[in-house]
Amino acid sequence: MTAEDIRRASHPVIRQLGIILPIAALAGIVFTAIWSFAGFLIPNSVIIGDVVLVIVFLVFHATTHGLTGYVLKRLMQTLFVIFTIASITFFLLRVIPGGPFDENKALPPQVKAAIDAKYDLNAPIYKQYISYIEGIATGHLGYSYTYVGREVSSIIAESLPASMQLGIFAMILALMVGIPAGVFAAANHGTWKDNVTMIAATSFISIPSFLAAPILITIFCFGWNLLPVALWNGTTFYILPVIVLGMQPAAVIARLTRSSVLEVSRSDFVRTAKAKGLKQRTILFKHMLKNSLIPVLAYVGPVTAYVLSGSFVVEDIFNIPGIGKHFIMSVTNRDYPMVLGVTLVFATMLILANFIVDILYTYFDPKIRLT
Amino acid sequence: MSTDFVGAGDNGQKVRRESDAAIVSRENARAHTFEENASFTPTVQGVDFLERAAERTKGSSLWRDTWRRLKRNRMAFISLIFIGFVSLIAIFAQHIAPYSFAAQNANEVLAPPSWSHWLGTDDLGRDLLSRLIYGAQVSMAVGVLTALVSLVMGTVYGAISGWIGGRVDALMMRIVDTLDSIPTLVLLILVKIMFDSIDQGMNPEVRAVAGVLLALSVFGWLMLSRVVRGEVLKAKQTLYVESARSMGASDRRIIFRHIIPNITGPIIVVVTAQIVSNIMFESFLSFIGLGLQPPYSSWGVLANDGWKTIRTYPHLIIAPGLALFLTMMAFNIFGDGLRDAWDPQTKKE
Repeated sequence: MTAEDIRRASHPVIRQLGIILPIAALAGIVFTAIWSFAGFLIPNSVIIGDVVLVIVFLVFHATTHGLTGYVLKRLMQTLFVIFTIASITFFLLRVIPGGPFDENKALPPQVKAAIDAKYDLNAPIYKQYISYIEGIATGHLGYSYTYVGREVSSIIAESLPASMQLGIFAMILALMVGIPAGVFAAANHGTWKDNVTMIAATSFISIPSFLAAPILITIFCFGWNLLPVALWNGTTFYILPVIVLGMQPAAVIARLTRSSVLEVSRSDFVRTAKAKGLKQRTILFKHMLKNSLIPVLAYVGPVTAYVLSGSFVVEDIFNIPGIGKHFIMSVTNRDYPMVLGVTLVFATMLILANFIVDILYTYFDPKIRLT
Repeated sequence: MSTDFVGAGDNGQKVRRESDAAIVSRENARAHTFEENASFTPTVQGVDFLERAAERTKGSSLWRDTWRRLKRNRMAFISLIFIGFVSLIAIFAQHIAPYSFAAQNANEVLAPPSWSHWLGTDDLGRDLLSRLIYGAQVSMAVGVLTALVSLVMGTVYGAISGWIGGRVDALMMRIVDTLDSIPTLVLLILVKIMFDSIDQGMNPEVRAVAGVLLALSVFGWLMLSRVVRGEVLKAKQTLYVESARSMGASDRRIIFRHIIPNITGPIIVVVTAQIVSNIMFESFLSFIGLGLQPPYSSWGVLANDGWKTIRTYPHLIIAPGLALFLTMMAFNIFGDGLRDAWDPQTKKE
């Protein structure tokens, strides 16, 4: 099936699949996010449905644009990179002197031996490594040292949703504020509106979350008593962390959008559109926006992964029971299986985000060739 | 005065040279005025002429052009002055700070701002202003030193990778890609764990900063090495490299004497951005308790301290936050200005 076949298809819906599918996927995600922001629990089936929509769109796009080989190659590479990261982190953490149970010097030798046997620390290192890799392949990341008797994968599964929620809300906020602000600044280029927007963007980039959070908390929580100070239990709880986390990406997106809209506005096809006498709005939304989103996309990929995997600082400030908090705890407690597991999850998310962004490039700009 | 533009040299240096005709006509005019002067001897005229011509053709170098454009950008210039101010405070922290960063005064716990403590004291009676000043020292040191380390590592790595090319290049870049696919903060923390457990017998004061420094340096060079590699790949095709090679210059000489000086612009822009993110990361690490540990002071540590008393004493967290915010702002504006000044072609107007 090629793009040409689709274009010649008899049914109009099939002909428009290239637009219908991404809009459906996007609408699914946004709808789910709003639903969840309203404080409802999202059933698993809906989340799976969203993921399926995204995958269907990506597969459709890849097959119709001759990217199947590339996608398969990239998937193999992804597996290899994850394996490499797992190995490196494993050996790094095993090589360093001092174990998690060395703190208590008074530990009787019998107890120490029992602990070592329990966590399989007596076996030669290559055996530990093999069982560790086997565990990853089957989805088991070992048992946590600090939460006795609990599997790392179950702790991650429990804490990831809050981080994901926070991240998705923040990213949607960032895109919803950032892109219009950038377009607004570019449309009013050179005027005071442009300058004010850009100064605001630069200050939002520079503001550390531990300055933004106290200011907002002092105003909204202590001053007006409108919002709760911390925790993650419903709509009112979501507002402040989402603003604090989404602020910086929004500002960066605004700056990127502005500069790329300005660049696109000087290109020939825009001049043609102007010469044809099209309305300003038509030119902006039909001709320029899709072309100017490519630099934004390059930024959005990695930052989504970072934001989804839980911003450590924001989770710490607002006491959100997310994965970032567990990671900090596991580091201070030297809970190595936990550190390894969380590292792997974060790395996988980052790799996948970059992968999806690379495919989306070819959607936004068919001239880009992936090899 | 008629000047004509001779053109950009291979190394990008714009040399403005007065046209010979203009010099000759002006020299003649001067010679006429000199003829009334008895000391003037026509025999020296030729030498004199050349010397004066050489004096007058002092090129306007790329650096000077950049500096001139930067000075015209008022916001960027003010930011530069502010950065210089903070740097001075950081360098002379020991002499400026009224108290030591660790000196506790049990009689004045959580004191409000007064004449003896301009910004008040924290929950252990330590002077906030002094801690802020020492914090500037740590933050600036971390920002600048890590940027230097990543500058050296990234430049050498990227230059080698781009220069050798082929399979070596592919392998070296794959390593960078792999390291890059570990999220920054996680990588930082992993390196920090490593470092903290290896070096047990170090001076605690050095150790406090060194862990953070090393951790930040380990990932900082990744982006720079990509940029340098790309620039080296481009430079390999240029004429000046070809001519250097045809004269028998060694690889090392070509890379470090010819190519690197010519790609300083993009390198400086990346390094400035690096300083910003390093200072930010240091304070984040310290804030979540994995960076510098009290009693040592950095803006992140102070923010972490202030967080405990945010309800009653919000100034304890606002002050370090504000200091960090202003410094970041200055670096960001200066970085933008520097980029525009360096390469006015790419300025997004």
